[in-house]
Amino acid sequence: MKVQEPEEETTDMQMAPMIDIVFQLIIFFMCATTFQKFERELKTNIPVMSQQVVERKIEDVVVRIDKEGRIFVGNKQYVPDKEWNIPELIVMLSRLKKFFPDQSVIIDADKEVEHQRVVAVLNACAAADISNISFVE
Amino acid sequence: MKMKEIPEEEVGFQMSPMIDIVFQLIIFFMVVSTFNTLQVEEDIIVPTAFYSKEKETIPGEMLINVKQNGKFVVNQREYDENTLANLLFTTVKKNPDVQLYVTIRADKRTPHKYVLKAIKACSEAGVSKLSFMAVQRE
Repeated sequence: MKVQEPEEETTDMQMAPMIDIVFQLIIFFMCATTFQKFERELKTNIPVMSQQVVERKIEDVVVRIDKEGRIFVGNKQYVPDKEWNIPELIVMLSRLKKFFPDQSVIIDADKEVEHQRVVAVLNACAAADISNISFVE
Repeated sequence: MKMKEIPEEEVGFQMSPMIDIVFQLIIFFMVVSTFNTLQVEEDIIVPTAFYSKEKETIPGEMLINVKQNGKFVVNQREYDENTLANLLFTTVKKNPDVQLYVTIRADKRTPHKYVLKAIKACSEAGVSKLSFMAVQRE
Protein backbone atom coordinates (compact mmCIF):
# COMPACT_ATOMS: atom_id res chain seq x y z
CA MET A 1 0.00 0.00 0.00
CA LYS A 2 2.75 2.44 0.87
CA VAL A 3 4.48 2.03 -2.47
CA GLN A 4 1.38 2.94 -4.44
CA GLU A 5 0.61 6.16 -2.56
CA PRO A 6 3.31 8.48 -4.06
CA GLU A 7 2.33 7.43 -7.57
CA GLU A 8 -1.21 8.56 -6.92
CA GLU A 9 -0.06 12.04 -5.83
CA THR A 10 2.02 12.76 -8.91
CA THR A 11 -0.82 12.03 -11.29
CA ASP A 12 -3.06 14.98 -10.37
CA MET A 13 -2.02 18.23 -12.04
CA GLN A 14 -1.24 21.23 -9.84
CA MET A 15 -2.69 24.41 -11.29
CA ALA A 16 -1.69 26.96 -8.66
CA PRO A 17 2.09 27.19 -9.35
CA MET A 18 1.46 27.31 -13.08
CA ILE A 19 -0.93 30.22 -12.67
CA ASP A 20 1.66 31.95 -10.46
CA ILE A 21 4.29 31.64 -13.15
CA VAL A 22 1.91 32.79 -15.89
CA PHE A 23 1.03 35.91 -13.90
CA GLN A 24 4.71 36.59 -13.29
CA LEU A 25 5.38 36.40 -17.02
CA ILE A 26 2.41 38.65 -17.84
CA ILE A 27 3.60 41.30 -15.38
CA PHE A 28 7.18 41.07 -16.63
CA PHE A 29 6.28 41.51 -20.29
CA MET A 30 3.83 44.31 -19.53
CA CYS A 31 6.62 46.23 -17.82
CA ALA A 32 9.17 45.41 -20.50
CA THR A 33 6.96 46.66 -23.32
CA THR A 34 6.10 49.95 -21.63
CA PHE A 35 9.80 50.69 -21.25
CA GLN A 36 10.48 50.02 -24.89
CA LYS A 37 7.95 52.59 -26.02
CA PHE A 38 9.79 55.76 -25.04
CA GLU A 39 13.18 56.74 -23.62
CA ARG A 40 15.21 57.65 -26.68
CA GLU A 41 17.28 60.77 -27.00
CA LEU A 42 18.74 63.36 -29.35
CA LYS A 43 22.18 64.42 -28.16
CA THR A 44 23.45 67.95 -28.65
CA ASN A 45 26.37 70.12 -27.62
CA ILE A 46 25.31 73.66 -26.86
CA PRO A 47 27.68 76.60 -26.42
CA VAL A 48 28.08 77.72 -22.80
CA MET A 49 27.83 81.32 -21.71
CA SER A 50 31.14 81.30 -19.83
CA GLN A 51 32.92 81.30 -23.16
CA GLN A 52 31.39 84.76 -23.61
CA VAL A 53 32.13 85.30 -27.26
CA VAL A 54 30.42 82.76 -29.44
CA GLU A 55 32.17 82.78 -32.74
CA ARG A 56 29.91 82.79 -35.72
CA LYS A 57 31.29 81.23 -38.81
CA ILE A 58 30.10 81.81 -42.34
CA GLU A 59 29.39 78.16 -42.90
CA ASP A 60 27.03 77.94 -39.92
CA VAL A 61 23.57 76.95 -41.03
CA VAL A 62 20.73 79.01 -39.63
CA VAL A 63 17.45 77.11 -39.53
CA ARG A 64 14.54 79.48 -39.03
CA ILE A 65 11.12 78.40 -37.83
CA ASP A 66 8.51 81.12 -38.18
CA LYS A 67 5.30 81.73 -36.23
CA GLU A 68 3.29 79.39 -38.46
CA GLY A 69 5.83 76.63 -37.87
CA ARG A 70 7.33 76.70 -41.36
CA ILE A 71 10.96 75.65 -41.51
CA PHE A 72 13.36 77.72 -43.60
CA VAL A 73 17.05 77.64 -44.41
CA GLY A 74 17.79 80.86 -46.26
CA ASN A 75 14.81 81.27 -48.57
CA LYS A 76 14.12 77.59 -49.11
CA GLN A 77 11.23 76.07 -47.20
CA TYR A 78 11.53 72.51 -45.90
CA VAL A 79 8.34 70.58 -45.25
CA PRO A 80 8.35 67.75 -42.72
CA ASP A 81 6.40 64.60 -43.56
CA LYS A 82 3.87 62.84 -41.35
CA GLU A 83 6.52 61.26 -39.14
CA TRP A 84 8.33 64.58 -38.74
CA ASN A 85 11.20 63.61 -40.99
CA ILE A 86 12.64 66.26 -43.29
CA PRO A 87 14.48 64.24 -45.97
CA GLU A 88 15.67 67.27 -47.98
CA LEU A 89 17.13 68.94 -44.90
CA ILE A 90 18.88 65.70 -43.93
CA VAL A 91 20.46 65.45 -47.39
CA MET A 92 21.58 69.07 -47.26
CA LEU A 93 23.05 68.80 -43.76
CA SER A 94 24.77 65.48 -44.51
CA ARG A 95 26.48 67.05 -47.51
CA LEU A 96 27.70 69.95 -45.37
CA LYS A 97 28.89 67.60 -42.66
CA LYS A 98 31.09 65.85 -45.21
CA PHE A 99 32.91 69.09 -46.03
CA PHE A 100 32.96 70.57 -42.53
CA PRO A 101 33.30 67.85 -39.89
CA ASP A 102 32.50 70.28 -37.06
CA GLN A 103 29.57 71.89 -38.80
CA SER A 104 27.20 73.61 -36.44
CA VAL A 105 23.54 74.50 -36.80
CA ILE A 106 21.81 77.53 -35.36
CA ILE A 107 18.14 77.15 -34.61
CA ASP A 108 16.17 80.39 -34.66
CA ALA A 109 12.63 79.46 -33.73
CA ASP A 110 9.73 81.74 -32.97
CA LYS A 111 8.84 81.70 -29.29
CA GLU A 112 5.38 80.26 -29.84
CA VAL A 113 6.48 77.39 -32.08
CA GLU A 114 5.58 74.00 -30.64
CA HIS A 115 8.48 71.88 -29.40
CA GLN A 116 7.78 69.10 -31.91
CA ARG A 117 8.95 71.28 -34.81
CA VAL A 118 12.21 72.12 -33.07
CA VAL A 119 12.72 68.43 -32.42
CA ALA A 120 12.08 67.74 -36.12
CA VAL A 121 15.05 69.98 -36.95
CA LEU A 122 17.15 68.34 -34.22
CA ASN A 123 16.13 65.01 -35.70
CA ALA A 124 17.50 66.06 -39.08
CA CYS A 125 20.73 67.19 -37.37
CA ALA A 126 20.98 63.82 -35.60
CA ALA A 127 20.47 62.03 -38.90
CA ALA A 128 23.30 64.07 -40.42
CA ASP A 129 25.43 63.35 -37.31
CA ILE A 130 25.67 67.03 -36.37
CA SER A 131 25.67 67.63 -32.63
CA ASN A 132 26.82 71.25 -32.39
CA ILE A 133 23.58 73.14 -32.02
CA SER A 134 22.94 76.66 -30.82
CA PHE A 135 19.65 78.30 -30.10
CA VAL A 136 18.81 81.93 -30.77
CA GLU A 137 16.60 83.82 -28.40
CA MET B 1 -7.33 9.11 14.50
CA LYS B 2 -8.64 11.48 11.86
CA MET B 3 -8.54 14.44 14.23
CA LYS B 4 -4.86 13.95 14.95
CA GLU B 5 -3.82 13.81 11.29
CA ILE B 6 -4.69 17.43 10.55
CA PRO B 7 -2.36 19.14 13.06
CA GLU B 8 0.48 16.89 11.88
CA GLU B 9 0.22 18.28 8.34
CA GLU B 10 0.20 21.93 9.46
CA VAL B 11 3.63 21.66 11.02
CA GLY B 12 5.34 21.28 7.64
CA PHE B 13 6.74 24.66 6.55
CA GLN B 14 5.93 25.52 2.92
CA MET B 15 8.72 27.37 1.17
CA SER B 16 7.34 27.77 -2.35
CA PRO B 17 4.60 30.37 -1.67
CA MET B 18 7.09 32.42 0.28
CA ILE B 19 9.60 32.33 -2.58
CA ASP B 20 6.79 33.32 -4.97
CA ILE B 21 5.96 36.36 -2.89
CA VAL B 22 9.62 37.32 -2.49
CA PHE B 23 10.10 37.21 -6.27
CA GLN B 24 7.00 39.34 -6.75
CA LEU B 25 8.38 41.92 -4.33
CA ILE B 26 11.81 41.91 -6.01
CA ILE B 27 10.25 42.52 -9.44
CA PHE B 28 7.92 45.18 -8.04
CA PHE B 29 10.75 47.15 -6.43
CA MET B 30 12.97 46.80 -9.49
CA VAL B 31 10.25 48.35 -11.63
CA VAL B 32 9.50 51.11 -9.11
CA SER B 33 13.15 52.05 -8.72
CA THR B 34 13.69 52.36 -12.47
CA PHE B 35 10.75 54.73 -12.60
CA ASN B 36 12.29 56.72 -9.77
CA THR B 37 15.69 57.10 -11.42
CA LEU B 38 14.05 58.23 -14.65
CA GLN B 39 12.22 61.00 -12.75
CA VAL B 40 9.64 61.17 -15.49
CA GLU B 41 6.46 63.17 -15.35
CA GLU B 42 3.48 61.18 -16.51
CA ASP B 43 1.43 63.79 -18.35
CA ILE B 44 4.07 64.72 -20.91
CA ILE B 45 3.75 63.48 -24.48
CA VAL B 46 7.25 63.26 -25.90
CA PRO B 47 7.80 64.49 -29.50
CA THR B 48 8.60 62.16 -32.38
CA ALA B 49 12.06 61.91 -33.88
CA PHE B 50 12.95 58.94 -36.05
CA TYR B 51 16.71 59.32 -35.75
CA SER B 52 16.79 59.51 -31.97
CA LYS B 53 19.34 57.20 -30.34
CA GLU B 54 18.88 54.67 -27.61
CA LYS B 55 19.01 56.42 -24.25
CA GLU B 56 22.25 55.97 -22.33
CA THR B 57 21.85 56.17 -18.59
CA ILE B 58 24.60 58.32 -17.15
CA PRO B 59 24.88 58.38 -13.37
CA GLY B 60 24.12 61.80 -11.93
CA GLU B 61 22.41 63.13 -15.01
CA MET B 62 19.56 65.56 -14.52
CA LEU B 63 16.23 65.21 -16.22
CA ILE B 64 14.24 68.40 -16.70
CA ASN B 65 10.59 67.88 -17.54
CA VAL B 66 9.05 70.85 -19.32
CA LYS B 67 5.28 70.86 -19.15
CA GLN B 68 2.98 72.39 -21.68
CA ASN B 69 2.18 75.30 -19.35
CA GLY B 70 5.86 76.15 -18.91
CA LYS B 71 6.40 74.55 -15.48
CA PHE B 72 9.70 72.73 -14.98
CA VAL B 73 9.73 69.51 -12.98
CA VAL B 74 12.97 68.02 -11.70
CA ASN B 75 12.86 65.05 -9.33
CA GLN B 76 9.10 65.44 -8.84
CA ARG B 77 9.57 69.01 -7.62
CA GLU B 78 8.27 72.02 -9.52
CA TYR B 79 10.59 74.86 -10.47
CA ASP B 80 10.15 78.13 -12.28
CA GLU B 81 12.67 79.91 -14.46
CA ASN B 82 14.75 81.39 -11.62
CA THR B 83 14.73 78.45 -9.24
CA LEU B 84 15.70 76.12 -12.09
CA ALA B 85 18.68 78.32 -12.91
CA ASN B 86 19.61 78.27 -9.22
CA LEU B 87 19.31 74.50 -9.05
CA LEU B 88 21.59 74.07 -12.07
CA PHE B 89 24.12 76.50 -10.65
CA THR B 90 24.31 74.78 -7.26
CA THR B 91 24.48 71.33 -8.85
CA VAL B 92 27.38 72.37 -11.07
CA LYS B 93 29.14 74.14 -8.20
CA LYS B 94 28.84 71.08 -5.94
CA ASN B 95 30.83 68.87 -8.34
CA PRO B 96 32.93 71.21 -10.47
CA ASP B 97 35.09 68.41 -11.92
CA VAL B 98 32.16 66.30 -13.08
CA GLN B 99 30.57 67.13 -16.40
CA LEU B 100 26.84 67.43 -15.78
CA TYR B 101 24.57 65.87 -18.35
CA VAL B 102 21.11 67.34 -18.71
CA THR B 103 18.20 65.79 -20.54
CA ILE B 104 15.24 67.93 -21.50
CA ARG B 105 11.96 66.08 -21.66
CA ALA B 106 9.47 68.55 -23.05
CA ASP B 107 5.91 68.00 -24.18
CA LYS B 108 5.60 68.17 -27.95
CA ARG B 109 3.08 71.02 -27.73
CA THR B 110 5.20 73.15 -25.40
CA PRO B 111 5.85 76.61 -26.85
CA HIS B 112 9.51 77.00 -27.76
CA LYS B 113 10.02 79.93 -25.36
CA TYR B 114 9.71 77.64 -22.31
CA VAL B 115 12.17 75.09 -23.68
CA LEU B 116 14.48 77.95 -24.53
CA LYS B 117 14.43 79.09 -20.89
CA ALA B 118 15.64 75.65 -19.80
CA ILE B 119 18.33 75.65 -22.51
CA LYS B 120 19.43 79.13 -21.49
CA ALA B 121 19.63 78.11 -17.83
CA CYS B 122 21.84 75.15 -18.79
CA SER B 123 24.03 77.32 -20.96
CA GLU B 124 24.50 79.88 -18.19
CA ALA B 125 25.34 77.17 -15.67
CA GLY B 126 28.03 75.84 -18.02
CA VAL B 127 26.27 72.65 -19.04
CA SER B 128 27.03 71.90 -22.66
CA LYS B 129 25.95 68.28 -22.87
CA LEU B 130 22.26 68.52 -23.52
CA SER B 131 19.93 65.95 -24.95
CA PHE B 132 16.28 65.98 -25.86
CA MET B 133 13.88 63.13 -25.20
CA ALA B 134 11.91 61.76 -28.11
CA VAL B 135 10.13 58.67 -29.29
CA GLN B 136 10.98 56.99 -32.56
CA ARG B 137 7.41 56.49 -33.68
CA GLU B 138 4.13 57.81 -32.41
